[in-house]
Amino acid sequence: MSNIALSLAKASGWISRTLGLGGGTTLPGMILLKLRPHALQEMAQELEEIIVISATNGKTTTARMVSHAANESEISFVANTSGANLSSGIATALLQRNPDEKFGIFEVDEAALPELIPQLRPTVLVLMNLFRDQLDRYGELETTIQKWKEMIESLPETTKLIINADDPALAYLGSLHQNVQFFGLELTDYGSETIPHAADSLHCQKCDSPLIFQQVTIGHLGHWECQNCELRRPNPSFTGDKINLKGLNGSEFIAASKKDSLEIQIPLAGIHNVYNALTAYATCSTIDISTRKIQKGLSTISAAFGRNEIINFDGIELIIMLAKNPAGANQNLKTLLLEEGNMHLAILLNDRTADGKDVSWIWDVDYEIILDRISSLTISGDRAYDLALRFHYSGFPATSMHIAPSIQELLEHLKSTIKIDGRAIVLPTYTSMLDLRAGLNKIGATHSFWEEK
Amino acid sequence: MTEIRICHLYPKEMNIYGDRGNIAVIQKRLEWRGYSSSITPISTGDDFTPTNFDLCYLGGGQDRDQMIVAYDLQKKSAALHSAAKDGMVFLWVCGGIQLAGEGYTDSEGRRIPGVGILDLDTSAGKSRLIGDLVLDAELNGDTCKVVGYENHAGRTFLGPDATPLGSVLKGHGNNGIDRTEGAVQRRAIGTYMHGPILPKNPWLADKLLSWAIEHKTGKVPTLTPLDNSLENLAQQVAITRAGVKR
Ligand SMILES: [Zn+2]
Repeated sequence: MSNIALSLAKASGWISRTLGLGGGTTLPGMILLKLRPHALQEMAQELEEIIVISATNGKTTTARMVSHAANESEISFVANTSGANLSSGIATALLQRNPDEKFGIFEVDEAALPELIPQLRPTVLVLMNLFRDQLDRYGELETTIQKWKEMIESLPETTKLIINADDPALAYLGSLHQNVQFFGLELTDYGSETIPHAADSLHCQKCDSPLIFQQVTIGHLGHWECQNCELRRPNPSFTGDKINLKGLNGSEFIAASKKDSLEIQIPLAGIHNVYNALTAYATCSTIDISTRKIQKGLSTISAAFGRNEIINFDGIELIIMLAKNPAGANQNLKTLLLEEGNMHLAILLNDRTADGKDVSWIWDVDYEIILDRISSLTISGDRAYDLALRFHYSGFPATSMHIAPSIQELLEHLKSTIKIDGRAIVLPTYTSMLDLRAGLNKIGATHSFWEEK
Repeated sequence: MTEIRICHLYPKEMNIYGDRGNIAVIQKRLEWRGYSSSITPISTGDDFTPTNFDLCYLGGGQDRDQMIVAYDLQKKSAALHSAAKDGMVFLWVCGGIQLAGEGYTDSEGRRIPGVGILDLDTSAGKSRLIGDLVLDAELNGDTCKVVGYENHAGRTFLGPDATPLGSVLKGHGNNGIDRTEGAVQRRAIGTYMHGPILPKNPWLADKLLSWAIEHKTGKVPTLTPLDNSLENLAQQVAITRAGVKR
């Protein structure tokens, strides 16, 4: 490969970090791909095993879990930085790869996936879920499903596909590939029998008839079958059973396959993280990481950037739970319900490109379930007034909410409201989390985003 | 207590733009004025009985779901026409406005039938019209700014029997050409505006409520004024952010 292209691109990362222009997690790759459009393919060829993980929700955490277990196994691998999940982020990671790293573990944006797969040619492709997310950016869910379908149809048979049996659309896509294994959750007390309003994928991908659910775990995930044709949830090779959610303290469950069965404990909250851990287990088993290493890797995982991350702010504990779409936000609320007592809540809503310009999704979040558990509510972000109206029309008194126009005012308000040693739950969208982090960074409460790996 | 009966058409299929917000606003603004309300979901295969409702809501959906719904709506067409003639209130948003018209010609030239309660026709455009939308709206000679968000591929043109809901100050509206947005015919309103539309536009919400109460009681009601300060502030912030001068 052209040495000039490589050194220019590499230098750009150093320059952008030095000048404080940003993380340098995407710029080198962006420059390289401009200079050398086939660079991704060329660099990927040098790897022996490439694992690609994609989903609307959970891909960052799951990629972290797999990386953790790979670390335990002393596998030397290259991975992209959380959130840098387009071609530029992956190219940057590959560019900065150490030559003895023969494994690649990448989380990939669901819209970018169909274009990236032929270039990366993964040995293992993991598809977790597709939820409605940012209609202005991704378009309709059906469009993504169609693109994924074409992608799977042109996948070489050697690619091992790992797919969530509980997602009806994905399970159907999985059935189109020879080399596929499914994972899914067994019946659990945390499931329900009714589909929440505004769930996606309610019709059979094959015959358009309505689907019937025996169990619903998150959104449209669960135990399903078509009312009309023979399409139904495939029997998973990897199962999660005996789930116990311990609120913000974490979760435990039994993961099992034909080969083995093990108890998995994770310090992460909510059934969505059980899905993430089960996905990581299925992926690690597929690349022959031992159960002991998987167990250890998962139990010591720390929260990914903004996912139940705890930041100490002048003696107040801020628990940050990223919420960027209804499915994720509803999971966060369910986790909060498992906590005792009332809570100080801060919700931040932005509508920048990375958040989605359309904020109508907040009306599909069931804030109603936590209304009587709120001891104070602070609202902030570019679209704070839309959130305020959301709460107003849920019956929450307008006089009891505080609207903070800036991060600084938000922090000041939390400080005046919450006692030392108290805690606040913060539910931000992606860019409002970056704003919050920048605000906290300014006063020395947290580190910068690009120091995260 | 007078009960206003609301029909929510296809809530499972047509709900992708926070349509629940519009229903919540209708219910709360009735409740705050001492009216009760009932919501009846009507789905594919269910009968629609025109005399059972005062207001009928239909939201936006994905293309595939909209197709499923379009064919089911044909079976309800006669009942919907009789309801419209009888003065029932309709709010049909996004995919809804397309289904309320004569029909929709998609990008491959296929024709999807509408029910024809609004005199308008839609065909697919090359690009999607996406972004903030601000209108000077007019209903019964009364005017107000209305603000929302649009995201549609359809280009809708009105026939002589429908009047636009408003003229576009910012955004694309019905077709991106004639600066019109939405359609009104009797008490049926179709619009591309979501966001959802009603929370930030209490003026429009109260027009619909007032019509629905009149449909139920036969009398034009005097609506108790509500404190709209939060709604108005939210609207003003949205208008300013969209770059429209007051
Ligand atoms: Zn079927």
